[in-house]
Amino acid sequence: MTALTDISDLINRSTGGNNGTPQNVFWHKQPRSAGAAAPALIAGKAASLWQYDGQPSAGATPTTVAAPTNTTTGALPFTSAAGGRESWMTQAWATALTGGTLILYDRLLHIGGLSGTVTTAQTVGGTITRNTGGKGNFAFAEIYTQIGTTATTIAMSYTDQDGNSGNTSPGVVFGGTNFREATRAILLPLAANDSGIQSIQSVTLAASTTTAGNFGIVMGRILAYVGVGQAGAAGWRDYITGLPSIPKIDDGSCLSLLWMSIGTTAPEILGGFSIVEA
Amino acid sequence: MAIATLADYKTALTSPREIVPVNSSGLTAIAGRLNDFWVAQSIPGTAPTTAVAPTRATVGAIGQINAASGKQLSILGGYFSSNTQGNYIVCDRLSHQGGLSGTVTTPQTTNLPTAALTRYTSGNGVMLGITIYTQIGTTGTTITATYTNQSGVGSRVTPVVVFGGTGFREANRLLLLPLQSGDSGVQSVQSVTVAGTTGTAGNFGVTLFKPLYVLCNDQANNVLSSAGFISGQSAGGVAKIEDDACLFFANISQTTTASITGSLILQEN
Repeated sequence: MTALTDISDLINRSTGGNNGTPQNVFWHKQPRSAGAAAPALIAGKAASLWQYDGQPSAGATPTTVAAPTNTTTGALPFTSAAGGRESWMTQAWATALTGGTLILYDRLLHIGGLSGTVTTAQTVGGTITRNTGGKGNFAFAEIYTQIGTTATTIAMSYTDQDGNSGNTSPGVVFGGTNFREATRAILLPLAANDSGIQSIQSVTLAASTTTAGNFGIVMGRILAYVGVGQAGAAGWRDYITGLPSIPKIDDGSCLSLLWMSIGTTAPEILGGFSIVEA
Repeated sequence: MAIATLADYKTALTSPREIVPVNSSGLTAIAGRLNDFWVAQSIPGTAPTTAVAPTRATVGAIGQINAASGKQLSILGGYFSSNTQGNYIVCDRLSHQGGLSGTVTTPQTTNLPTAALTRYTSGNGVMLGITIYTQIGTTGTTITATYTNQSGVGSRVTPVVVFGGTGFREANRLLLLPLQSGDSGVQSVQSVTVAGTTGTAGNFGVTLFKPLYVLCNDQANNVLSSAGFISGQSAGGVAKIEDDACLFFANISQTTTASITGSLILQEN
């Protein structure tokens, strides 16, 4: 690893000098999944764009637990740094058909095939391969096939950033209108004083939602937020002069998207980001 | 060669290789949706009638000067004004064609396949758009395309997207087509299929392009803005421009109009 030493070094690397290998990536997502219109959103709540059609194409519904990488279908294009260097994000940009906040994250682990009717602990497991210390990692339930109309709660049993296992997250609403539809990303909070996740042992529903559907659990690490103030507004982040300063992108990162919508319209989004090696 | 230091960067800004004027006006937009300025600018391009791989010399291109031999041209930034806030996206128009109909529901191959790419020839990162040159019909349907992906695999099919009807029919709309699972780009397009008639033939075509740089405009009413790698309001880093690139603007606006007047600052190094 070599640090970015100063603004001259950054300019040099971003124009291809000193093995900077700049990557300027553009992508788009359409409010459709496998050609079908994506469900309406809930204002102020997160939706996963993992299965939105676009470029790159949609990600598949996970089955067994896996640690996705930059080569997993659905990941935004990103080439890992070479020669012992690291990757650093210098810019991010997005615009959309509706206002909201785009969250770019590294998808560390995912599993599908969980049921909205099982009230015993459902195993998650698996091992993350990036940010393994867990600090800053977050988790959400990702719904692939609509679950039931009966609202209940969901909680996870996890190991925190200090390696303490058996922690239980506070329950959050799961199932019922607005908490059951495909593409919903239901964020799972942490227990008191925790700041991250190393692993998730299981998730448990307090009661049946009455329809099994198909949902999964995703663990990720947030890399960037891009605010889009309204339809057509330019949301841009300059990490060179703005805060936070120049996020590091781990080798093999599975760059993925969440969307926090201002309204209920499923978004059509065009975006991009710039990365340089050092 | 790279720009080695901040001092060199400042020098490049104050003594650029070229300051390219841009003046694209009069486009009727749909807030939040992508528009193609190709024929809606002061020196307009024309709707293609054959499959063409346009270059910087094609009428409608911004028309920058190529870098000298062994040099690399890039966009350092720009200053610009617009009547409305939004995103002005500098793209390289790689291949385009026209003459397709909004009423034909069988696979259309008129002026297809698209002309072979002469830049970004692997197709990786190349986007597939449908440019509407003459308004199509009011009936909403869907559209797909068969294409060859970034690995040279043919007979790939795009997932359906809406085509026709309000917001998806107007001239200058640029409708992005998603890619089949696992794909990250497009080398060529073989055919386009409209699922049902839109009610009006109009004229539309396939546009293969690569976004390069974004001028992010937070100011309406033609207030001057500037964008640059270390001054913000831009995306795309220090964007490289290939020799003979056919630069044009795509746009996503906050309102129902879009225009841009200003200059791009280009540097070779």
